[in-house]
Amino acid sequence: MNNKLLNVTNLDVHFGPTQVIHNVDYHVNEGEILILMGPNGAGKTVLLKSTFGLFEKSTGTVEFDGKVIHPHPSSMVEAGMSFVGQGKRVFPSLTIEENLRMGAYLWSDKKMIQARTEELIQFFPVLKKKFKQIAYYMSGGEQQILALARGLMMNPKLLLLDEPSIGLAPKIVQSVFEKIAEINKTFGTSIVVVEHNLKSLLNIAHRGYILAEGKMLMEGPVEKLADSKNLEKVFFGEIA
Amino acid sequence: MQILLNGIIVGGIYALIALGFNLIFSSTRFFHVLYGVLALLGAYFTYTFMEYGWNFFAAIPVAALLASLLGVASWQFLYKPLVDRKASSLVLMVTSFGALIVVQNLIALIWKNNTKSISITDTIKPAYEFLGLNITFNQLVILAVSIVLMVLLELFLKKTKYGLAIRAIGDNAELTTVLGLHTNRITLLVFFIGTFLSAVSASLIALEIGARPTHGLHYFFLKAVIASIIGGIGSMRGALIGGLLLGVVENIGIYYLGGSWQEVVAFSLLTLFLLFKPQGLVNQMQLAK
Repeated sequence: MNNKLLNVTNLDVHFGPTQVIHNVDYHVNEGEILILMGPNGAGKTVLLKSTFGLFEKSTGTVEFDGKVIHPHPSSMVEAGMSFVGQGKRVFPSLTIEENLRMGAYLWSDKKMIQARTEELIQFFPVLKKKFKQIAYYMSGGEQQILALARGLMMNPKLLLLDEPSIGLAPKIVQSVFEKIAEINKTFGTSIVVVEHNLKSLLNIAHRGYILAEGKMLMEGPVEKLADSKNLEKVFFGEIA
Repeated sequence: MQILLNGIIVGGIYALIALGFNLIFSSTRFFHVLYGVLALLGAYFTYTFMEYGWNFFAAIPVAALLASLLGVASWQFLYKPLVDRKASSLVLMVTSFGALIVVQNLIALIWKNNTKSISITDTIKPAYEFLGLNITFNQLVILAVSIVLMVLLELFLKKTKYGLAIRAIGDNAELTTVLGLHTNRITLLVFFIGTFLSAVSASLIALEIGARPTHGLHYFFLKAVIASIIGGIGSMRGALIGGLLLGVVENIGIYYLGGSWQEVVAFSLLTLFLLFKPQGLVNQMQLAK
């Protein structure tokens, strides 16, 4: 169980002359849900994006599934990693079916894509009834579900989620998080979640890190991190 | 009815030009001004091949292919280095405009300033009569080629994997990168197809009005922009409708006001749309937000 699926060491990221990530180490074990916490501007999203290759790292190594990879989105996707970003999550003028197909663009076997699509719409029944409609007409929560499903199309080993709750109503957030836990159980996918909507995630995450000002402050099981004293210190800036 | 038919035939070409322009615009989000003169270059290539005795129908695809390669090169060697340095769309447009002026003058140097005309056959064929409407052989060719290309484009975009990727990039380019696509290859393909369509349309228009060095900016680029804005920029269906509408309205204008009013009519239509329906007839862009 405790095999490291992803191991990131000594990661530095610069934006021009400014260093935004300072010598960060973190890892993801196989089969776990990991949460990255921290106040606004802590560098959580940057950390996630530079792991996936959406931002160029300055130094550091990213080891995934036993191999050192230079992060670039297409090589990461090929290696079995999948990234679901925040904000614009879907292709609004494509149908749900086409959105899903885009998630398996690197696959060329039509039967495989077909089978996987069927499997996922069984898993996410919301997608079934609007299957041939364009994604523009979906609600925010449904779009997030579609983005999750698209991220799972190639059956990735690791799913990176950047603020999956952003812009969603609290009630829907809860159901999205339940789905995330269910994905982890059903497909055995390891998941990294960047989130500041902490409470709803604490029930489903196994382990977490706290980041502030681009530095890793604390690591441990969620219970320890959720200890209100620790969180207070970070969010009100005492440790950083 | 005759005016309507003429309008639809011209509109079909405008639609083709606008389709190519829109295809490129929606995946790169900047005004590729050079587009107009690359299209024109296609017409000049067709002219040159025909001077060497080639058949019109053989000359057109080869000429369009050459123009398309230049279109592809313009992305790879002109725009992409700028995009990689995070240049704004304004910078790209100015660059494009500069390149247009260079190419336009090169055309004038090579082919001189006078109008070069192209005709399919040596003799002028009488017009066909069909349900009381006159249609010339040239017009028939224009109509047929436009329809065939549009159907092919529609099938390509709707039915193939690359078509899906092109539509996806137009929707949300960032997301396609996240999904592991090599977006640059898709963009190159877009430039190829877009320029191909425009070069074919330019050769077709040259059948009717000939080719002059200034047609690139004044004719092809502006028509593409007007038709795209009327139809709804970023939308393929919009470009089609916008092109047809522009053609029909222009021809009605020519009939009632005279040929010298063609541009006035086109720009009045554009102004009306910008004032009252700036998002165009099919507003894809708002959909994408």
